Amino acid sequence: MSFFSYIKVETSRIFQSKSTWLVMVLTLLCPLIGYSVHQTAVTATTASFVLANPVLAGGLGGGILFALLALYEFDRVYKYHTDALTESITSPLLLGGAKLISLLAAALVTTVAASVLYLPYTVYRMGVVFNFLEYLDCFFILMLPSLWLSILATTAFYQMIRRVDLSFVLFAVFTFFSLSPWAESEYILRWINPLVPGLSDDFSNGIIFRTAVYNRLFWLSILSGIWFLGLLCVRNYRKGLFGSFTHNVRKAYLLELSIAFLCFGVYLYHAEPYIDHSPAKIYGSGVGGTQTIVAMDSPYAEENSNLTLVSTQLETDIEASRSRLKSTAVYQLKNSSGKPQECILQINPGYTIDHITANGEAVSFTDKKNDHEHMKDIAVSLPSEEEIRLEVRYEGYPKIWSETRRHLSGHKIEKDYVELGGIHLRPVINASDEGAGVTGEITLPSELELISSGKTAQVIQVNTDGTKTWRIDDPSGSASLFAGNYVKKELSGSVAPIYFYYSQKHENKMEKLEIEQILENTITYCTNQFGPLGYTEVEPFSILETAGHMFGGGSSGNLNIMDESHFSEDGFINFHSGATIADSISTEIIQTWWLQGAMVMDAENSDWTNGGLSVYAAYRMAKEMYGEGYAIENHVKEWEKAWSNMNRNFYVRHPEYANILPEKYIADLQVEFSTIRTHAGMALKVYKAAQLIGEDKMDAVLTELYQNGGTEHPPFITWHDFLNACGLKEEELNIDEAI
Amino acid sequence: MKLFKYELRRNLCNKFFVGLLIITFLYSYQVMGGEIVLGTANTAPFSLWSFGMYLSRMLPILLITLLFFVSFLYSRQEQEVRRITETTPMDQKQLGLLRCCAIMVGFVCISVVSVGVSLWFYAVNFRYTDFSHFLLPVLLTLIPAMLFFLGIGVIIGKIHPAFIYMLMPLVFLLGYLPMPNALDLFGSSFFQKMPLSLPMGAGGEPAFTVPFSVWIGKTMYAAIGVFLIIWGVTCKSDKTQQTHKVKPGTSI
Amino acid sequence: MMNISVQNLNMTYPTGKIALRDISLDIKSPNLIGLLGPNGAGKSTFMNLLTAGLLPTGGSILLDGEPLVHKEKKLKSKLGYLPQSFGLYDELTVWQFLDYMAALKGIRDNKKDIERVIQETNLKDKRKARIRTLSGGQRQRVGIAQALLGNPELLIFDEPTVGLDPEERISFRNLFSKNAQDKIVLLSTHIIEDVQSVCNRLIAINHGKILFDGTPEQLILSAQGHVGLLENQQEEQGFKVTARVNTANGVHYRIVAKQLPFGAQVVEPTLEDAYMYLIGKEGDKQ
Repeated sequence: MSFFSYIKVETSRIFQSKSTWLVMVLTLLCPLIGYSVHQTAVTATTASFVLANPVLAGGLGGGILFALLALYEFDRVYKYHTDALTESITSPLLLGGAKLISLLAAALVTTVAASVLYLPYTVYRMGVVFNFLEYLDCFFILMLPSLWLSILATTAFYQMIRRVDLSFVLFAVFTFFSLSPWAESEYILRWINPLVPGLSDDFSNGIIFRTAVYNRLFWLSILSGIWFLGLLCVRNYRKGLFGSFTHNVRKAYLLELSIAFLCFGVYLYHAEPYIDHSPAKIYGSGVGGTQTIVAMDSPYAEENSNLTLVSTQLETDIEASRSRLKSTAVYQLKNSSGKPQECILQINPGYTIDHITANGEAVSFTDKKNDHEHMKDIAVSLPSEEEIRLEVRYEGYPKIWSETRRHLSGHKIEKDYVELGGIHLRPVINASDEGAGVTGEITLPSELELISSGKTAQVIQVNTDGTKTWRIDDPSGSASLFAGNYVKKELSGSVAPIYFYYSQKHENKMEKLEIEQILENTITYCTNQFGPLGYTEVEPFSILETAGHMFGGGSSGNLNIMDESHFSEDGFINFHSGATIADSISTEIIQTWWLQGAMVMDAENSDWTNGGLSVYAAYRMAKEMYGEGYAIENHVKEWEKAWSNMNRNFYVRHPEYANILPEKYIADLQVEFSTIRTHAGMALKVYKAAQLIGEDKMDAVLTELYQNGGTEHPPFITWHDFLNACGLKEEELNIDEAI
Repeated sequence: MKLFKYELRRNLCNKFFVGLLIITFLYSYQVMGGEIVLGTANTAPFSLWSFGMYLSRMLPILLITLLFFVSFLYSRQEQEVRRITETTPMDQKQLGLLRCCAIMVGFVCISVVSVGVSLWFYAVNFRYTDFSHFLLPVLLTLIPAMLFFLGIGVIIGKIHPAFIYMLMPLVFLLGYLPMPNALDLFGSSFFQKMPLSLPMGAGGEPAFTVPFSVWIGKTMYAAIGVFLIIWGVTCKSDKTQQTHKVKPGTSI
Repeated sequence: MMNISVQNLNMTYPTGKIALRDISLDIKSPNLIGLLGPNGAGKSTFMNLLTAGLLPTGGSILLDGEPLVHKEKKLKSKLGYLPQSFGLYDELTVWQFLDYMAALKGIRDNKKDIERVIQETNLKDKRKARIRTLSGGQRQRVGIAQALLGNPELLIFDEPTVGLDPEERISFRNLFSKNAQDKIVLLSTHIIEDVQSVCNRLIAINHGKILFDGTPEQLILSAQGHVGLLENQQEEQGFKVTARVNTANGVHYRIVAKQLPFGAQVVEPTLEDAYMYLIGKEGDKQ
């Protein structure tokens, strides 16, 4: 009988076994746990809750079940002593291979059945955002390989050890490793529970599936290598482990296959392409708590005062379908020293510099490959001429910062969504750049709408290859780009137009939740309360829905970005008990209003930022819209809880023990407490001030500061500006540590 | 005593147990250094709350060791040896209880490793050596869970030995399910949430207080466990219903 | 002295299979009883009933005049049993396993007893070897050894010589015979030679019924005139072939039949012939 005949026989036999059907049925039930109990995808979108979590639960539960089935199937030959019969007919190695393939086939059938079973409910729940290809990707990239890898691992262990209990223990250890904090942040190590922080409803999830595919490739290689090694350990001629190995290794191709797979796996691990190698950033010592940590050093290279950047032009071709770009950045520089200079270009580590010329002549450059804080340094030798036209050709794709690798969060290029800016779009040069703007031509697939910071992007050419070329102009020099299948709406309530961009897929939900109305109400409130933002029709303020992978929101120049979870009913229900969607959106807008419209800073008090003021302002708006009870419950009490929690933390109370903590924990705590101090802590102080002087007076103080800036160090609004405006002393605003 | 000695030897003197000890040791260190070191619910890492949380995190692996010991009672080898041992004058109920005691000793041995790692961690990193109060979380967390799962294991093993293996993944799952304090067998919800509701005491730490409902809950679990153990061990199989599993070729 | 009385013993399994039908017999010590029967005859069921491993569905077993069900502990304190298939604790050494079994049997001064059974079963060289390292025959000897611990009054062996070489089989036959001098030894086997040379009583069972209960000589006598030799027979008609020998003159058949065919040379029956005749006769009746 040929090997394929054995496969046929084994597959037929396994599908007649009751144990197989039991395991298949139980595996089909596992995704149900993902709807409620096992929820690892936390991005608040419908796809996360309805698709990602069930599939991940199916992979985990099914993986364990199929491991048990594999153990049972492999052991029964020896348990019932049929090996004496079967081994007199054919080689146990061939049979082992046939059994493996039949188990993999059972797992495949189960996954197909699961994908069919859960399809109607998923379509119903996701509605217009349902994407059939991504649905299949979830089952066949996220779930099925977990089952296959479980089978490979368990059978490999069993073939080596030949004991069910020990093999199960090893499998349990292997599974635990994947689920443990050791592997939590490392997508490549999580074999049974691939890293899926969440799935976007409205935009592509390419990065999720690319990293998952890479992970699967890595583990399939490693485990295949181990499996072939295990096959060489299959007991033969009544010999033990080593005796059998010594005999079986005469089939050299098996050993070669094993080594090849293992080497390939090791190569894949070291050549991991999606995460940069920036080390964790620690600010000073200790975790801070109520004590401010010394402000961190800037990650940017020290400015070369002999160089002045006049302007930057880009010519960028974004190959969205390949998730990469090719670009040429031209820097007009002035070298005031009269001598050759070295400058540093800093760019996302995912890009490679192909060619650099200065005034048409090639110049030498060194890629330092020194990933740090999401960038790397390229040292370039510049000539001594006064006017230098530096042309840098580069290509690649933005890698994810290692600090955010747990969330796979970062700038991205996907087939239907682009998010780039700063060093993730083009190299930043360490020249003095007062007033240097960025202009350029960006080529994108024609179905994508480009939104850029600065002036509104304009289509300048429709190309015959299905792309469009856009012109961008950002006088501030930051140059952030977003592109997607956006719908553009103009919002009323302000002097200058404000635009709202959201995904076409989300149109119905936006209307249903009256998001436009909420935004307009907030803009009206902010305009009336604080004054208009200083943007124009040419350079308008825009609110942008972005992919859920970015987590939360922020702003970039005249763009305010809010990830899709802000507009998702499902996300809201799961994460915000009590507060409303409107309140959450309003808070984001108010924060942007303060970030864009006022410069809040104090060199002696790093907790004093626009964060605290905007958080307080959001409370005031909530009080006006929804009443005092609601506002206190969902704002003030939340600040008090966060503040109290921070002060109760052991390491805040005993900073002398902080050096015991691993660096990663120190970094995480520093970030967490910094946010609490600047937002919740400072908001509580402003709230206390408002209680002392009256909330109406506080509104007037904030309006005055917003519109006219500070007086101590204009235009910045300092802490003392605030205290003086309130007529209060600092000591009067001390917050009790034990609120 | 001699039988007890042999049962202990069979459970503990084997590579399998040594392997489990090593795994427990590594996992203990990882839990201490990865989670407990941050302190549970803002309490000190060496507070009774954090220590209790540590024990609740260790419970799945300790209970899986326990279930493996229980699985030995229903292994094929044991069933085959039983054909001889059942014909001795030794009361099978007594033998069963003796075996359960040996399993409990095995559980205690592996728990000692786990607790030992934590005490060493506290001593080395925090120079904390006042362990006199640590007995309370041990009694509260480990004993009821041990008795409960031993009882469950003995009963379901009688139905089918494979069910013991199926129980093992459920043990992991139970550790993460949110439960009301009184029903929280593992205690992770209790140790996480209770201190947040208590006022800060001397030294800035909330006092370790266990509500009466929690004591009742733990006692009930322990009592159910003891009942199941006794029932499982003393339950006599109906000999008229016996159909011994025989090897092929064995004459009736 | 021990007296076992079996009265109208019936055993029907829950599946409906009737393993024993109306078995009645008395067993007194000393006695070395051979229990013969084909596969599925009811031998192991009978042994399980005698060791209180099963409860009969009808009839009774009396131990020294008292029902066995009420005297289980008393029986087990005097019982040494070796089932047909059994397991051992592979992780223990031979000595440790026997020590364990001695403790189960409640034997106090067990060192001497263990040494004795190790000696008797020729396991001296293997006393410190782990059981997992033993061959099949050595494991069988360990099984026999544990049965002999405590010098029990009732020894029941189910296929005890399986896996033993001829020399060992003879040695154990002699051992059983020696033990039977003051005990009841019940021996179930397919190997006729084992019962032929040592048993003073034979019980033949088939389909749950006792076909024969007597001495080996009586069984042989019952087959006299029914065993013959034939040459070059083409077909088997109405007789059972117990041996077939190829000779220079053709094939010689040793046959057993109720009525020997014409041309058959009558020969003295062996115990095996007598057993085959008995089973064949019982089969004809059915």
